[in-house]
Amino acid sequence: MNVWQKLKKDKMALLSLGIIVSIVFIGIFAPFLAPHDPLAANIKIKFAKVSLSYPFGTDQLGRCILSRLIYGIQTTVFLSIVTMLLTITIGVLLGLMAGYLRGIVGEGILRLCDVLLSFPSEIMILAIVGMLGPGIGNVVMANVASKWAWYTRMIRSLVLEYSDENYIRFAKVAGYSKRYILCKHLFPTILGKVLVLATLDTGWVILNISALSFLGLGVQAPTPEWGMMLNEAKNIMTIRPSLMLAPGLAILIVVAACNFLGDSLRDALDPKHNQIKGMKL
Amino acid sequence: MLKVESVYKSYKKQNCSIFSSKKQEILHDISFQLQCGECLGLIGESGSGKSTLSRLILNLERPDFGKITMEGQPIQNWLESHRGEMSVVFQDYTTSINPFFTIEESVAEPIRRSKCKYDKQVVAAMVLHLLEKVQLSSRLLMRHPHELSGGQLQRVCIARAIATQPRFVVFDEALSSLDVSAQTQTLLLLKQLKQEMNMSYLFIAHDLPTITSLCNKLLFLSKGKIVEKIEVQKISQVQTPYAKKLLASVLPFD
Repeated sequence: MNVWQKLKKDKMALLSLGIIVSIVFIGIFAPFLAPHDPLAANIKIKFAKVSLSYPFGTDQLGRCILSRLIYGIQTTVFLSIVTMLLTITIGVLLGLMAGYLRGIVGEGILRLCDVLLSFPSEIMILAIVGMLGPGIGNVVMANVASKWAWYTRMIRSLVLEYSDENYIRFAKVAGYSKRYILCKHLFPTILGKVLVLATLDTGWVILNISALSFLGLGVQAPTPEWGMMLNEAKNIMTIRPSLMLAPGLAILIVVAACNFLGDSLRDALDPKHNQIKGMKL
Repeated sequence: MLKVESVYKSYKKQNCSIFSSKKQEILHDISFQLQCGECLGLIGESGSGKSTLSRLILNLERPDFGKITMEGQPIQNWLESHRGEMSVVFQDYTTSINPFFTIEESVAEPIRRSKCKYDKQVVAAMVLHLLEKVQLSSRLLMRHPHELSGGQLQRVCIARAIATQPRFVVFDEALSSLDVSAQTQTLLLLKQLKQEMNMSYLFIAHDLPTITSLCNKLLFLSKGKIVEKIEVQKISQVQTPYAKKLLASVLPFD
């Protein structure tokens, strides 16, 4: 029974996956799906009520909120996916190296991780963005820089845990190379665990990017971004509190979907999970 | 064939500060020989260094001092030039097989690494034949390890160990984790395989009855030292108190 078959039986996983996939598709095809130009301001129709041509109404500058949400996917969701991919790639590479090449290389990587991990990640991110200046690229860099050390350490500990398993000893006795053992035995085992954490962390990154934009350090106006939409809505909270609903809910739904998908993936990737549930095979 | 010459091995003591270099000696001056076609039993209490010795012989770790040679070559070189001729069955079958692999993939793994390159169909046929040899049904081929019972899994491990027709197999307490009926069955199977394929065994155990029925020489290991070597036929004539004690604890059942 493979992972996909198990996921298919899990309704929550299907729902989360459906939400994430459809949001990614909406983001890719934003120019065709968005009813209006997300940047086109029309002050005459500011704070327009929900209508057919403006399904979520307009904001303080008369821009279509739905269009801004749809284009916001390209910044918020895609940036967080890029961030996670970069983090995982660095983490897996360095983690496997640190775990398998003990000695100077491994120790060097570990001490560097220790240094980075001694600061709270929020402070690291603020410091990096503060030094490099606000901007999309810098936000991604700051997030990657604050996360890779954590992944590296975790993957290293997984490598250490699994490299003493008997099946790896057997492969060594059978004459297999380190590369084969890393690729065929350690990598698949570890990838499952890392994927779960990565899905859970994607939510964290989305919140982080949104939070930095909310603080004015991330994506700059007028680029549509969910956190920044919240920030702009905050300024006029007393007049139109409903403006915060759309971006807030969008963030909530995507983060929740990522978290639920992470949970389901963890169950599906564990080959022993069927037994625990007592399912017939 | 296998020659172990005054091997020493010690590990750093656990629970010590990183600056102290206190070491605990696990193996002390171990020397013995194993002839071709022989079956050597290694007995000792838990903690006497049996598994460490097996790891050294399998070249998973290096001895601090001393030499381990196979047919005159150092064990590392021998393993490289004689790929697939040494194999092992571990005590803990639950971690012996990658949980992501099917039984077929696991058994085929050593075959794929052997010197001859086989076609896929040939490998599949070989795996099937091996499962037959250890009396397992071919229905298990596509299963994953967690779907098998302990006895079945250990037999898969044995099938995997003999897949490349090795000349020397280490059994690191391969039977201790099985129940009595499975033990007897596996023991008979090992005897039969030994005759069929003319293999040499190093059999590690901490109970005597299994060893005496299979081995022709015994080594008693206590606290990292070999205290007595004896032929199985002369087992009643052991000299040292340690060996006598080990024997006395099982003889009443004979």
